[in-house]
Amino acid sequence: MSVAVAGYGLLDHGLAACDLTAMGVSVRVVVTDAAALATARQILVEELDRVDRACSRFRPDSELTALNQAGGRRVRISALLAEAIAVGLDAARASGGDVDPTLGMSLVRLGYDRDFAQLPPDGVAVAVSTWRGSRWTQVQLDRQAGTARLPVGVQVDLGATAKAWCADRAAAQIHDRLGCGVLVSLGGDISVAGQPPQDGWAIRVQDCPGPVRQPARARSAVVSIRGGGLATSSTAARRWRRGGQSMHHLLDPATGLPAVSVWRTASVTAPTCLAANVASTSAIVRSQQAVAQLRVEGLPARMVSHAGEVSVVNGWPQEATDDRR
Amino acid sequence: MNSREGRIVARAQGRRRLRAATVALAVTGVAGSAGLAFAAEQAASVSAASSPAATTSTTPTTRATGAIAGATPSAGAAATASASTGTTGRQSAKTTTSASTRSAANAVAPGTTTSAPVATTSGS
Repeated sequence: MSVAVAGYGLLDHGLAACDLTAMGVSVRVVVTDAAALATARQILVEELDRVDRACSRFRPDSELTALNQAGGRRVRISALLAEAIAVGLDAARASGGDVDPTLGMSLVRLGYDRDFAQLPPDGVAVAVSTWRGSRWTQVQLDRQAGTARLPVGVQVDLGATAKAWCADRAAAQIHDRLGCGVLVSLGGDISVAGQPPQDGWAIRVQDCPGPVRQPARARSAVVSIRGGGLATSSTAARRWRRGGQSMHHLLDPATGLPAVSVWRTASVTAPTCLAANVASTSAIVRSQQAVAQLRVEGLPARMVSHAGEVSVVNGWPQEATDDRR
Repeated sequence: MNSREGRIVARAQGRRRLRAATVALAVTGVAGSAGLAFAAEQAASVSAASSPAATTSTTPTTRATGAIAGATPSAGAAATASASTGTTGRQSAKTTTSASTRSAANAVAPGTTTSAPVATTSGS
């Protein structure tokens, strides 16, 4: 896995941060004890490397690639990949199948077949094929035996859950080993652990990706969290074109195509980043039904429509624009 | 999107509407994964450390709700609510959102702040 350190910085209130790029996304770790930053970064990089080796759909040497290419055979897998797949299947169960780890072939068919940074901006039109429907229930995972088997024609893509899960794991490990408060952000999937700063962890929620040092390019809000996780799913991120048609990476398992949603962006807080990510991804897929469902779940959320209108539910603060930009 | 893809999307949306109610996320279901025991521990610690602001439940905003079909807030969103799915061929589930689950979710409600942001989230 390629890891590039983009910079270190001391922040207000004694916080210290390190920025990296890894797994094709921007990564940030922030700690409440500046002396712990170097070790925290090392713990994070080691965890990223473990997860990437096990779960990357794009690495030819990853365990997941071997499983996806097994042609329906049972494959021996590590405990880590088994756990990652179990997490993906749990997410599918919990979301009623709206977050589906078996959409790898659909993503490939739509052109997302390599690291996003290496995707050509356009390509040949996507051929329409008969959609066989969701098949995550057909994945055979035996964690005790350490084996997995995919149905022929199915490829697992853990992109919906692996980053959030990894953020939770890394934050927990850093806190457990170093004792400080910590925030881990993997491409905007944010997990925090330990004692937070006095005012909580201030996080800018925005439509367009960008580092915290740069002003937001679109409407944004700053909120603080003291524990758990915050995740955002957006149809504005990771877009590409095929045959002139715009694609994005949040697929609707009912069609195998990019989800058609009234929402451009959904941000959710939950007791874990993983739970937040599952809810935010589900919200995009569920479209009009998302707000009602979030109310049932009780998860605080901020939803942005394609027109830029913001809706908040379950205690998410009324909009406060980021006037620091 | 061509016409055939459009029909596929329309059929899927129709099936989705047929569901009597969407399924609950069930935070407990996710956090209860054998591999995620730490998540439950984290949730417990979060609950204990939550700030007054983080436990305040506010009335959802009405902004933009005109565009949201079926998004009328229920009366207080009962502490225990069951949601069952229809039989549309999609994977269905029946889940109960318990009071403890809602409490855990409320404990991580974000607060307002005037501090400079230390991270951003925007989808990836």
